[in-house]
Amino acid sequence: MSPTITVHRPDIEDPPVEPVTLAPRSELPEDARLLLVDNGKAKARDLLLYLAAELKQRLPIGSVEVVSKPSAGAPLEDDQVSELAARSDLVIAGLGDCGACSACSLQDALLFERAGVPSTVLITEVFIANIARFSQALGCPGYHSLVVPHPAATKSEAQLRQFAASVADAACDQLRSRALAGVS
Amino acid sequence: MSVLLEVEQDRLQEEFFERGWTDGLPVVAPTPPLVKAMLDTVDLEPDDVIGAIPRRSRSVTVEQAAINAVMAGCKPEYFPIVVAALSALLDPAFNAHAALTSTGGAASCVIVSGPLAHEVGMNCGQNALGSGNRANATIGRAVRLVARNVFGAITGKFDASAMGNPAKYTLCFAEEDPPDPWQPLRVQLGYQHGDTTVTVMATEAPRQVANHLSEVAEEVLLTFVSAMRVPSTYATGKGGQGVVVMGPEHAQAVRQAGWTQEQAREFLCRESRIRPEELVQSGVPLEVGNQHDMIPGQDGKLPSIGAPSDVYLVTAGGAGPGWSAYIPSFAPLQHTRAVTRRVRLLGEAMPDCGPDGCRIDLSSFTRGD
Repeated sequence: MSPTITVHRPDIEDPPVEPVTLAPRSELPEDARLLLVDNGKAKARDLLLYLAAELKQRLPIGSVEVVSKPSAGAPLEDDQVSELAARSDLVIAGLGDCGACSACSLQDALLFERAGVPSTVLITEVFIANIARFSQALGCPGYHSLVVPHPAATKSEAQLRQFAASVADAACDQLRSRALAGVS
Repeated sequence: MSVLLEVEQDRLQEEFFERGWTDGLPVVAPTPPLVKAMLDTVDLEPDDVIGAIPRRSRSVTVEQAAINAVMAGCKPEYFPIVVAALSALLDPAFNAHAALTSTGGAASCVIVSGPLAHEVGMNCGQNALGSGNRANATIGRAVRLVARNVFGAITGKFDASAMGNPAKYTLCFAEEDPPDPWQPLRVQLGYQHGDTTVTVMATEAPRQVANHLSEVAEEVLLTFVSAMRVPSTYATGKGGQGVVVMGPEHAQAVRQAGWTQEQAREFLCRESRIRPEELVQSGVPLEVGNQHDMIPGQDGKLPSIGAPSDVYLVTAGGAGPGWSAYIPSFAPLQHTRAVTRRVRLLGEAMPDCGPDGCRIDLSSFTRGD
């Protein structure tokens, strides 16, 4: 056994994060307001709107609002979230089809959960692990997501409609039940 | 304060590799004396925070920066430059949250302009962007080790680089002050000639720019333009930033023809605009109605560079037949911007606020109910 040497650890412990308390999934009003947080990635808006159309057939949605972010590489600001949360009953953020944008769309969804609005995030399948790591780092391990094939940006209108239909039931479940978020 | 570990000397490198604390290369053991020597070069406390990524709930202290600077192989006298570089990287405009995570796999390009670069032995001449100079190599490496060990920029954690590039190990160089009337980068950016500044941009890897047969300024600049409007570059047609590293022959040709740097930046920005058809012919579809709304301007073209001030024109490199380099930002302007910080030296007095700036007569205040 060689002599020992004293060294500093170069890393830091994962910082303490206030756990995210998910929004209550209470009964929806008859004209629920669905907010789509479009991160501006190619086809994100289209895919979110197709998903909203599917959800209208499943949930009592009275209006759909789309907010488009100027950069997919940054989450919404807290005051924007407060303002939007006050006029929304459900939120879907997306499209997470790259590293920074999936992390930021996840943060958007969690910010709305903190603000008391049931939410979920739409991502492409290769970013499942990325989302899982950020969910843990942001205080909500195991947070749910809606997963479509990757890449979505190159797909036709028909394929995007198919993707939307494929996750519509999951979206209903995630927006209506906290148990599916992995955090009871 | 950081945590101290006892490690077997013979196992030290393996221990650091196994714990994921290196960039794949061996490191210098961050012992308390070496870390203290680093800390002694700045007027900062070990627990002072250099900057943070708020959405990641992570910040870096001066001590953590010093530990990683030792590991990178920095000499203590490099440390004020490392601190300034980290401060720039953690400015919100740089958007480290995205730049350290994006699939784009950005490098953190560090440009040092000013006398301290030369005092600590940085290379601005032959092979300026290459290997072999300790200061260039280790300052850039220290920045990346902090990104890794403090901010989680690790493959399999928060770094989602699809391809990455070799400049992610280190990309740091010094500027060679150009002859009059051209100004060094720090002066172009509004700092004093005697200052030392550190500019950090999230970039792709450098690309070589060759023009060995022309000394005509416009032809030389058009060669740069050809490197700046490459359809396969992510920011082309959307508007980003870029570092134009002019080698001595190219800089001389442009300067001696009477071009100011401002004129050169305007030319490069204007001429690097690209027709939408060129992108389409290269197989690059145009984005419409999203964050990159690629709507042509009045000239019918799209920007590769946002504005003339987004061209960071510096001179560096050694003699040759006519070599330069271009380093594009990894993403358009709405995602990331270069940030510059002035290096604060040990013992440097704080600026004088003037006769009134810091004097408040508290007796004139009354407690309100």
